[in-house]
Amino acid sequence: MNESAAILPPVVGWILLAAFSALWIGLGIYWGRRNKSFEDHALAGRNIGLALGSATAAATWITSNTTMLAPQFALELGVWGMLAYTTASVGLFLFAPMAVRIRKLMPTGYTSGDFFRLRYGRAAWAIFMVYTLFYSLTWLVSMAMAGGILLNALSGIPYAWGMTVILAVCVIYTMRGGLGAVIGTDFIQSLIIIVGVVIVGFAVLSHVSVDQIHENLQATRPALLNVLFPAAIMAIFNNLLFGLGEVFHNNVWWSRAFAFRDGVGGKAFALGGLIWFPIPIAAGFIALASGALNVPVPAADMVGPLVVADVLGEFGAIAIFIVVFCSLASSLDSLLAATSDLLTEDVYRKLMNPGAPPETLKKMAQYVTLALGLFTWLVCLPRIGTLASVLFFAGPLVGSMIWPIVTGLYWRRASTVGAVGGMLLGAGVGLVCYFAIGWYVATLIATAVSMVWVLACAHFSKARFDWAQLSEAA
Amino acid sequence: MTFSAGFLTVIIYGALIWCALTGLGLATLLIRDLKNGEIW
Repeated sequence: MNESAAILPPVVGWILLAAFSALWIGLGIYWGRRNKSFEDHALAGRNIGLALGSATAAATWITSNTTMLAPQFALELGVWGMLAYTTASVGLFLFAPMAVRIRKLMPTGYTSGDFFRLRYGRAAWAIFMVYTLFYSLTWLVSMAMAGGILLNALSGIPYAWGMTVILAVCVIYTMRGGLGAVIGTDFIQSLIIIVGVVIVGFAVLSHVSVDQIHENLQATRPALLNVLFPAAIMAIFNNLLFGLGEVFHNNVWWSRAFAFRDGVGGKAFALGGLIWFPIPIAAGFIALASGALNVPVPAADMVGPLVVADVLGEFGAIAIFIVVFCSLASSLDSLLAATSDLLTEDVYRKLMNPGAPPETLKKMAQYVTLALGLFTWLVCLPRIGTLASVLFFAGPLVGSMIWPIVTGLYWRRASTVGAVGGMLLGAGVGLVCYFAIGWYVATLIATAVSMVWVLACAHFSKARFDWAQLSEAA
Repeated sequence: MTFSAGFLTVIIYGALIWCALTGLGLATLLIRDLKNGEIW
């Protein structure tokens, strides 16, 4: 997009970018001074309280997808599209009791990789690592790419510069401050996002009533109000299972379960789900108002900013810019920290240098964060537009891990054969369906196939796992 | 069968008010944790 088509002057974009970059880096350096060991750096000393815990659970889940894709979902799939998006919060609600269980079984654990290795052995761990690294790196690349594209569309800042700045800022404060800085900035970012969404939402409603929006939709696009919209109903299942698979397996969430103070994890994830739940509707309904407000929408993925800028002018555009910047940063930093910890703990410490002292591990985690940032930057630089869609490809992979994780945490009879077969069969069949039928059934089928295999193996298994083996992660 | 204007009103205003309340709740939680020295 050129500068004239952007909704904010580039100079305003650069000022906002500089101000928030300085704030996040300053806080990262300040909070990073508390970190003396790898445990401080990777898990914030395992002492995060309820306020920061709830905010980080919500903020990490509020990606640029939530603030930008929710309006697109509403524009393409109507009321069901917004409601379908809210089902992603179910992952946070269901992870709440799992976080309590994880903390109880693995009081000194570090990563979700620790769980797979100790519970199911090396083969399951290796498959898990391939799946989770593919997913995490794809998510990281798609977020950084979205950052460059969105900053360009909102303010005309060239793609390469916007992507580079937002990635560099997140790498610097995550390297310096570790998970403590990530969680601290998440709190501020979540409050900014919530306040921004509320102000923008009520401001839009002061220009057009819900009755007018409804009347316009009925006259021009009645399908968006259809209670029996088939594609939208399918999207509910896909979103729900994708969300479950992502939250259940990814170290982004497990690292928080380990980092929260004893007794905080369950409440924090449940509150995080409650905080996140209304955001897709509050951010998404704006797209439904585009017709009633006569706002032309040349690109569906820019409908939110276009409507807000049209109704609220430069003030609205600034608000959207800040909300999008915070949404991107709150997810990028979490992914950088969690993936770096996974590689440091599961690959460097466990495979290469088991006797590494805490200070060395902390330094290694910082180098890995830097390397991840450089890798992401190199992949994003050519701006391959189709790369973000690879994230949908990961749906069957994450869906196939749901049952091995849930049964592995609660059933002594859940077996390695079940976990390995469930992940391979589920992902394999899911990917075949992805290409043969479509993305909207791939995760559902992968989860179902994995479930049948895992449950059948558990039923016939004679093995009974000793839970004490999980605490060996120390 | 279509979603009614009343339903749309309830979910839109409900979501916005819910967001506002959670924002206030988060701020209150932070103050409580600060007072008890339980931030981190």
